[in-house]
Amino acid sequence: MGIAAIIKYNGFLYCFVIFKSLKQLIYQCVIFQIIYVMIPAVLYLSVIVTSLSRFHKMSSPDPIIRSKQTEKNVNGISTEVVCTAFSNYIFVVLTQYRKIGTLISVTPESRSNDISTPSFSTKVLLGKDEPMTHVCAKNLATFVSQEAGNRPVLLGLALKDSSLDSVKQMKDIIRSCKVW
Amino acid sequence: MNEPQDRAQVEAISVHNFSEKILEQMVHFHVMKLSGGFFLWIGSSPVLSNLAVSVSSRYDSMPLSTLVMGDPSNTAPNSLSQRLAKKTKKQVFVSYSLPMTDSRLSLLVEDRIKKELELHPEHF
Repeated sequence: MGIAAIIKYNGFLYCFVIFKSLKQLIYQCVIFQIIYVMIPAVLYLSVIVTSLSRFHKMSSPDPIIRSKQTEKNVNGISTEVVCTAFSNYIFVVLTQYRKIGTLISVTPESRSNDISTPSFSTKVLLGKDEPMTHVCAKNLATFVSQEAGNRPVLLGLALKDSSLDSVKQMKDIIRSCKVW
Repeated sequence: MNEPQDRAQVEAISVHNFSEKILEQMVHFHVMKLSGGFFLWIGSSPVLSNLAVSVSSRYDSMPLSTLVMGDPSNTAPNSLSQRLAKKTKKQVFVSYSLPMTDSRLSLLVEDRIKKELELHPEHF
């Protein structure tokens, strides 16, 4: 760069630069462009993008309850499992009709004499109250409650086939949807 | 001719979550679409404090409703499931796990559900 002078006039700063050659003038223009035009533009854009993404996150945050689901074939019947974790319940839907069906709550018994073998009580909240329902529910949900730190289980049961072999396979399907 | 019905039967259970800030409070919604009905949970913390179920009846203009779980003095889950069953003509399970401090909240929550029903009917 050649000779430079800065003059203050009417509250504005004026900068005079005399360049040695045309080439130097072009270089200076390019540097001026990068420093004063492009960098602020990029910063400004990034601010807009981050605020937009924050706004987007505000409108749809991560769901506070986790759920997992799967579909498997059990002895020729399509069987679906959806497990949802609430802080006070594990909600398990085990269905061959795509319906909730019978609703059973499986609760660990508070007064159990032996710690190693806790007992569970089953209560049919909705649907047919049959002995077989209690057997299936206890068989299917006890391990869920135990693994979830003795959280009660709300079980939706709608089965076409509740043979021992099928129930065994269903337990594994529930295990594959672990949300606890 | 039965193709659409067959396809609907093959369709698996679907789960849909959405949230909305209502009266300075984040309200979360969780929908599980089932065959002929849906399960809807509404709450601000991940607690399942009650559960009501409603189903339309041919003998009454208002759907039949029962509380399956929770405090019977809280009528919010019953009435919401009843209104949703009437609107959707489906079996509706509702868990309304929000504090019952503001009566305006439940109205705004219901409006938000109706909006989602219109925007995304495929999830219900």
